[in-house]
Amino acid sequence: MSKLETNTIDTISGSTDLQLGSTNATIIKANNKISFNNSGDGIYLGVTTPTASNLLDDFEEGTWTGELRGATTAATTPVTATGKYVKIGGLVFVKIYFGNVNTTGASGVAQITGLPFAAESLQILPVMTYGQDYDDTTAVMSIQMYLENNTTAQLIATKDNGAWQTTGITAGATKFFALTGSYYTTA
Amino acid sequence: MAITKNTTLEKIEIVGKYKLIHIKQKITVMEDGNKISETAHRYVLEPDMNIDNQSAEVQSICNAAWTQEVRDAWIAFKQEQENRLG
Repeated sequence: MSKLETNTIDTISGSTDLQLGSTNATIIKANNKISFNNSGDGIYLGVTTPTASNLLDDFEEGTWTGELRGATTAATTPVTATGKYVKIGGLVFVKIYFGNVNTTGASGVAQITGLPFAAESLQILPVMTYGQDYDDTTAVMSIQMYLENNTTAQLIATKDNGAWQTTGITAGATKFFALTGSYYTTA
Repeated sequence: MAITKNTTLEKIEIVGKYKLIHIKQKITVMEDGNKISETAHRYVLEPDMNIDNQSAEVQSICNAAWTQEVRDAWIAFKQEQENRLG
């Protein structure tokens, strides 16, 4: 094995990419951005030998279009908003805000549809609402959004010593829903 | 000064036992031919969704992945979930 010692490797004049190796190798591109040859390539962090659980091979950020609706019917004028997401490995961070919207015409369980990745198994997401009615005569302890194997979060009330309870959307003007949280995906 | 917005299909993935179709789009904003913004946009298609407004390429993949068995399993899962949640 030969050894190269140097302080700087630079591109030749007129070239923007610096490539190490011919295949399956790192390509260092212009503007200090590094990319790899193949989808699924990545970096092992915190280990001295390759270990699958230490491979950082997936990062993405972007937007998604969510709809606040009832499971039975949507609002007369569809209530949509643009949310943001960041995906690191199998973990997805999402946020979306429906501010001062009109849900007139919606009925059935309150839902936010259109999450950017399908959830892995049963998970919950924190939510805060304004103008939404709850069954507060029967000891509602907390509210969450329930997500299981799909991309639709459903509004759920956790009750004192009682079953989970889906919660119907309150139709009308001046409604606010804010959802921010994270969940796991197999995507 | 001309600003244009272009949406292209970047990735189609089939995920999980219910064959949910994950779509990744790339949205590029150009000004006079120079890229000034590029973002990813995501959505997911489920086996009981209407896909009439999707591209022919996406429809073809959905129809191949969503066999009757997959569609039935998806409907059964949703019904089971609904029963469980009350």
